[in-house]
Amino acid sequence: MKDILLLVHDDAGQPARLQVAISLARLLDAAVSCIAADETADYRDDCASLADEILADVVRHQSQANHKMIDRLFAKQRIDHRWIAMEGPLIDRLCEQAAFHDLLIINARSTGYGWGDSSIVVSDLVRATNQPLLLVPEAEVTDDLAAHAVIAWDGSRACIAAMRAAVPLLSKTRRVTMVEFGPHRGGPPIERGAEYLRRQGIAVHTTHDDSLHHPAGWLVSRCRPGRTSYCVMGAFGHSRSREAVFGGVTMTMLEEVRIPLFIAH
Amino acid sequence: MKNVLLMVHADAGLEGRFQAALDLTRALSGHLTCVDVFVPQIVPDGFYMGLDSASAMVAQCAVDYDHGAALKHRLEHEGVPWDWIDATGGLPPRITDEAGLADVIVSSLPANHLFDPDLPRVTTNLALANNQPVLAVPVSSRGITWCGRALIAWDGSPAAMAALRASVPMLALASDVELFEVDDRTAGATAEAAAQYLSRHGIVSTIERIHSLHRPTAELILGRAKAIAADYIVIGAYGHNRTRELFFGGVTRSMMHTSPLPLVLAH
Repeated sequence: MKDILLLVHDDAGQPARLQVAISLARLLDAAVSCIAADETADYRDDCASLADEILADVVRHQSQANHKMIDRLFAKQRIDHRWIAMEGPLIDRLCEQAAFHDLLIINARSTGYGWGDSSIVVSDLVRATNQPLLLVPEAEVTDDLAAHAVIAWDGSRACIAAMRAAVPLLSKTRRVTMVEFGPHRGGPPIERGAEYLRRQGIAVHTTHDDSLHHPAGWLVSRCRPGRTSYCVMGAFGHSRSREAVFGGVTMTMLEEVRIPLFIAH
Repeated sequence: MKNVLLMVHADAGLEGRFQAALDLTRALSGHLTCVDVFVPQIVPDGFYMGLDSASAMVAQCAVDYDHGAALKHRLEHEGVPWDWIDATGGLPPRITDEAGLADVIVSSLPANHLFDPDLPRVTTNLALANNQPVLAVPVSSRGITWCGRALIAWDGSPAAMAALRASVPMLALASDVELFEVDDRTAGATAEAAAQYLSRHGIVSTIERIHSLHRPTAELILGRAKAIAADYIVIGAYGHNRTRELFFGGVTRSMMHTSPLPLVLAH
């Protein structure tokens, strides 16, 4: 995992994204590619008024200032970074670029540009790219990503894919716990997953919980900042319509969790 | 990349697969999981309905059992960690589970036996569903030199990128890595971008770029592989969808049917 794709936009979630990108790049000795949306396009249509042009100018200046700030930050941290020019719809370009990177860092929830209903955007990205994503909360995140990882095991294909993709990161993590909630619902047992990781040289501790809590709430309580530094899980095991009606663990996690989520579909 | 999965079935390609899987496991200092696939055969007969099928099944079972026992015996002396899984009758969920937990699946390139159970297709389906690389070994192959030369067939597609990404642990073992590009049939990311990606993983590569002059791409790739005496070829599988490949042919399909070298495929 040497190529990290980072979404750059000056919003409330940016400090957390930057922090995670920097600690990941340090941990994995990786390079960061920054991709930024071209926001001035909104103001540059055929019937643009003077006010639109002024607004476009303001937006351009803001994003240039943001780029400079990020350049300085990465230079100070001595992390190799480059910019990817982007025109056109944000989601399409992100999907395109994600295919050529090992990991995409975005916010789990964001109120910023083009993220009206962020869970839809995130689920689109997860389903469209086949690549793992690191979803970062808006709030302050831990500096030390390598402290403790939780793998939420359910034996699904998505969960196994996420675990396989996370191996480079897991092997740098000091403590890895696999948790399974409730009765086993098909797929390989948790011991088989632990054996897979042990063969990669990662020591794993497995726990099983049979209590009667709601699975999503239980997982959120395990994934508290300070206790866990990031969580690996499969996303959207069920179809989207079913998820929309009944809700799902993924949706709840996206909305409530306060640590980075490593997700694959 | 530590978990190597080998499909065991008594067919012509078994020895090639076995040797390749052993070499790969050793090179990666990994673990070999053998899945013994037994596919029951139904033989149509006239009056004594099922009798021939039953005897054919018994015969096949005996053949598989012998192969299994022989392989297990050999594995004990090869000095790699291994385990064995018996799976009877098509593809029980156990194989799907095991396939999901493998890092690479070893299979054969299709041989021209009309009535063999189509193991290559089964493996490819499994691997493509799980997004894993497949090592497809020709029937005549006996072992692969992982510390030798690797040829990467590059066309800039997401499938080529996936193959590149998936094969990094193998490429790290190679002494020479070459990115081969047919420059009038390339789109998307450049070979330079691919070389840069490899260099971040500490892999030095060279780029060779030629013009197709209307020759078929598969022929060009195989020609280049022969010219540089490559040990294996890394290629993105099924850039187009598979039904289209079936009707119109495609690079993946012709490579799979004509390559004398092992292929590392990913989608």
